[in-house]
Amino acid sequence: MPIIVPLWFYEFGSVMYFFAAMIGLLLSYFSFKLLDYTRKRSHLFLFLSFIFITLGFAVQAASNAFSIMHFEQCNPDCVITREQIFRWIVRGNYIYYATSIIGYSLFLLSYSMTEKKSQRNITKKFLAVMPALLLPIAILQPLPQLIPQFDVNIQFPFAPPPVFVLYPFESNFFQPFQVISSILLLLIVYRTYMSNKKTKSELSILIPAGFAAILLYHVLMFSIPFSPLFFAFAHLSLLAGFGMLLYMLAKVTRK
Amino acid sequence: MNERFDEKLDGKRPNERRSKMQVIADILRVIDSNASGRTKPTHILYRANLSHKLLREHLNTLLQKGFIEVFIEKNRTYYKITIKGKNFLGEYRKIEKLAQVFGLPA
Repeated sequence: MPIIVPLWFYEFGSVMYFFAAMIGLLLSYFSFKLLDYTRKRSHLFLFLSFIFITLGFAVQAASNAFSIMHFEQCNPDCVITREQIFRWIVRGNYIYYATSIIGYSLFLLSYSMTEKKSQRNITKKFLAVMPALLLPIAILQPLPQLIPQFDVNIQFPFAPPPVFVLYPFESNFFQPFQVISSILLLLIVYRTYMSNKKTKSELSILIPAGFAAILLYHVLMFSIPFSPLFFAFAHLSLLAGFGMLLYMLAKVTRK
Repeated sequence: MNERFDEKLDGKRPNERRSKMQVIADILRVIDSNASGRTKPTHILYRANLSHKLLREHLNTLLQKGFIEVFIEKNRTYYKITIKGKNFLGEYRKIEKLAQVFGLPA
């Protein structure tokens, strides 16, 4: 069952995705420079991981913004169906799911390059299994929802004109994607934290902290069925995560 | 010894194999760290921990790229870092720091 959320959630979400994509683009640029200097495979994976993560958020921002514009142009004089509103968001979501999982996996792979061969093989097998968990869901659609969803119609005192639309959570991929992303990010946080313990650099703590905030974003997105408020908190957490990565980058690249 | 150069060597295991780019950066660091602004090849040889053959190869590459310039004074050869070389070293330091922050050595 879909969830009813205010329209401004989409605008808010689009802006957050746009910021995440912009910071991701900067990270991609500097990791490309790193790759250009070193030509190491671990840096190639790091660069590709940021490219995929950036692509996912850019597609999310564009598809959300496009759908809102389409809806606002049409509203209230025309009758449009939910499918018409969400056509681009749903397509954008699928691209985002795929690119994010690839991006997080490549990030973990870049760290596995610094490990011993036996450990690296375990990481590779694990990374092959995780996205494969989505396959049965794709084949066996429609599956019953993992957790019950319910209609929520809440009024925000600070919300603009109360235009409410349905959020397309009926996709069977939504919750498994959040779970898989959370597991991958948990490993990223652990791996980057261990790396920080070795380097003992003040700036490097921002990497696990930033990814922990992105992990929180996925956990909160998973929890939206319990309260649409989590949507706003999730996106603030996403902004905080990318903000920390941006701060790290600014400190590292300053003259 | 230059502080930055010390930092670089401290973080490295003695048996770790350096990449070509790291060797080039180490040579530039040695030349740049010299207060007089010029460095003798023997000085580069032991400070950058290189064989004579490798040093020749890398110095030729750096000269071709315009990162260093050579001059002879009283029958002695000296090397000096150029503006282009300083810019390269500055960029490399940023990139090296980024790799260090990520825990993925350059």
